Amino acid sequence: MADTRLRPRPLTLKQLLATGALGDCHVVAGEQGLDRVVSDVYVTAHCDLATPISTGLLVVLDARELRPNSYALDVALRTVRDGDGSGLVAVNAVSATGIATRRLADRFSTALVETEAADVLAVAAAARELVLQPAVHQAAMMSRLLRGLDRATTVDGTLALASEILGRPCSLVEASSAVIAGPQVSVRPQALRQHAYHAPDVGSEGEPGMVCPVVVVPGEPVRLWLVCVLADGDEPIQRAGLDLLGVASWAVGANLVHDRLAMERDARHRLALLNEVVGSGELPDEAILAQMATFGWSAAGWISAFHVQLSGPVDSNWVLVNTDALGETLVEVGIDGPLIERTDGWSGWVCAPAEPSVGDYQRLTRSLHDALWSLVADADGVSAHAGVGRPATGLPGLRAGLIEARQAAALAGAGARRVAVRHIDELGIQRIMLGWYGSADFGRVVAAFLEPLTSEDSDGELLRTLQTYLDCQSSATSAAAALGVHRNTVMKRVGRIADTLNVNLHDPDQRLALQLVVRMHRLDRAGA
Amino acid sequence: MRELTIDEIDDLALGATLLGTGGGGDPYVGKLLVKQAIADHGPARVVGPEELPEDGRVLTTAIIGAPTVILEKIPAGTEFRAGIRALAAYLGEEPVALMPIEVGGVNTLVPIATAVELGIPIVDADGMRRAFPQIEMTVFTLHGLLAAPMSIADEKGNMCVFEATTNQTAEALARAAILQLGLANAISCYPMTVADVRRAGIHGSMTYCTEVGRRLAQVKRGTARAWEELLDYTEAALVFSGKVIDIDRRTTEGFARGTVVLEHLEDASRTMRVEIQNENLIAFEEGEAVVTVPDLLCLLDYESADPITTEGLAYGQRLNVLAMPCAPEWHRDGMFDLVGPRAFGYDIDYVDFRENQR
Repeated sequence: MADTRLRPRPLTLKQLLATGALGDCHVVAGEQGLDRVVSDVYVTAHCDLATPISTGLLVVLDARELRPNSYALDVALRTVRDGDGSGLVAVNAVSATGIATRRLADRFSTALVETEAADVLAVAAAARELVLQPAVHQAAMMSRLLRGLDRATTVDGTLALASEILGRPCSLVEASSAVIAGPQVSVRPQALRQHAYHAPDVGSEGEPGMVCPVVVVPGEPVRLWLVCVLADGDEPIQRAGLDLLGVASWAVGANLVHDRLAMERDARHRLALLNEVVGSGELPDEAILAQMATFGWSAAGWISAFHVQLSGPVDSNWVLVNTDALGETLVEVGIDGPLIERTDGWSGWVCAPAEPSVGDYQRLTRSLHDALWSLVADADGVSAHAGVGRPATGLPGLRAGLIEARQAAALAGAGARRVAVRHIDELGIQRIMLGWYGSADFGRVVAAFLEPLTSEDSDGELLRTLQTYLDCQSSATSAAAALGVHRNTVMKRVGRIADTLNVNLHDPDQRLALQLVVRMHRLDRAGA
Repeated sequence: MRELTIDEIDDLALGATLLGTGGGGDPYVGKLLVKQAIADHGPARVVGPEELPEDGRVLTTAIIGAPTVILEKIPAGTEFRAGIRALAAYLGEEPVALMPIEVGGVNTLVPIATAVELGIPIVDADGMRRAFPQIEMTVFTLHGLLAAPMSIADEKGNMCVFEATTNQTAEALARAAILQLGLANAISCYPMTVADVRRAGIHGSMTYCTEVGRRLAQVKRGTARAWEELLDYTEAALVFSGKVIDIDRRTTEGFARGTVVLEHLEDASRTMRVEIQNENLIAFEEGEAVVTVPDLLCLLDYESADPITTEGLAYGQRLNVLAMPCAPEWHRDGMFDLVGPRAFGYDIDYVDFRENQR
């Protein structure tokens, strides 16, 4: 299919001369320049270095007043060449062009054309009309696009509008070249660059096309691109299309920002209600239940609440962006209930008509673990720790469950694993430690005790080794396997740590204290 | 005061041909006039303006007419003295010395012959230090000195003395007179005092012309480093070496106009275009002016280093194009209006060729 909507195409000088718009003209010299594209036409009686010449400009010179064999034609040629103009048309020259001028036109590869015309201005105007036709057409398309954007309030709407005007499908793709919105399109991932451009080989089959980054937040790296792959089309057509695509990309950026703002607003409302549920206590329970109903949240039957705590390079936006994906994964693993974004994770619950069994607990924690693992698997450095509360009924049950879930998540975070889920009932004796873990005084003791080690262990390697070693029941072999180093390395590091901290790891009391200290330190770090 | 030797006269004539920049009339006849005058009346005495009394009267003389006519109609020799006498009688004052108006072309030598005949010295100064086609194109005009009163005389004894309020009017009246007097006449204009010469003249121009001629003669003889010496002395630059591939001569508006196109001897795709109006005025390369009037643009035979006059240009000649800065006295307010490219109808700005050479 030919990309007819982007035509008419820009004319080369040769094509323009063939139209007859410049009368019965004759190429005197500089034939090599005839394939230049004419961008515009400028008519003048005097062309020198002060004449504004732009790329592709065709200068129509009224040569009637020039002396025979005038140097002025040389100067005009030079000016056209220097300004990257497309050629020089001398109208009504009184004598044949001299050899100096002809040789110069050949040397510059700048076409010199002679023609006769009763009205120089009329000739130039006719040529200009032809030359500017593509620009006029493009302006009309741009105008349609701009008018249409008023009504295109969604990404899909904007893409549909741009596709209709360009006559080719436009799609929104992300860095892996997967299509996010719009029709399927096959584009090479290398074709997605940080700037807008057109190229003859954008498509995965080597088709020409245009690629335009979508800037959602200025300054952030581009993660989305607007892509239009053409069936055919030469450079000028791609350039014309790119301008339109550029405007569409702003609109798509605006659509995305609008969506994100709506998401953030909704998240904020949900979070506020969650805080009410957990018990800031400003609203009566009836009002809370009424608001929960407007969000479609149920608190009927037996409720199992969970709390997901993220750590690592994440922010509230990360949470926001990944909410939908997590929600879908949770549904897939059978956890179908409200999911509320917090700045550092999510809270949620599921309702069941009957009291869950112990087997249900295990299923829930395992499913949550699987879902969290698939969430953070590809996110470098991000850890997810979750806790699940005891099942209970009604709003007070939900409240208690959410609080338990948060406590369980804190304990889950004390371990060394990237993803950990704990049920409050599994914790048992560990809950004894919860008070300790939450104590600010103890935090200060920990920091002071570990100071000799942290000051010389800037990348945390020794501390990690110590923690793994202790978690592995002081087995150097298991710790070496977990850390991916040699057993001797672990032994050497543990020896060094014992020296640095002046502790005896063979003494059970000292070992217990040290493990507490290390876990507390880890919890602090995760919290920070 | 010093006497001019016969050798110096040859160098002076050669230098005058070069400074004529293709025009100015062939100095050959002038050289013969000077040699004959010295043989008849004794040596020519050259003085600096500072050697003359401040209020002394200095007169000029020159051939005025059409270059083509001057070539064929040899001066009788009497018209120059007659013109001087007529102007001196009108002024009621005898000259203490004569001075050339233009050192460049035949008019470098004519005043020397006349001064020898009149028994007065010749002043080592002038108003152009090159050749220009019109009376008003002098540094004297830039200093506000008037060309009038002036006299024009022919070889038969016809003459006129007239006043003009501007030098442009003086030029117009003189052109009208010579049309009736045979187009090769004697003119005496710019009568001035020694003080005026000291103030407004280009000093040492005859010495300069002789030195240029002497160096050019060495180039012609093939003396080692002679080219470098000539270029150093004149601060000139060799801007192109090419073969004449086209000459287009037109006589319009009273001027012998022309365009010469040279093809570079080493790079045939390079061409230079030299624009002529009696003298060589502007050289263009690649559509850009590289040498412009009032700087001197000289064409020399590639082999013999003979300066080529505009009448002598021919298809196939191999030429060196030499650009030479004009006398520094030209660089004053009004220079561009009087002798810049636009004064000759070229709609371009003056270009200092030395900036391209740096």
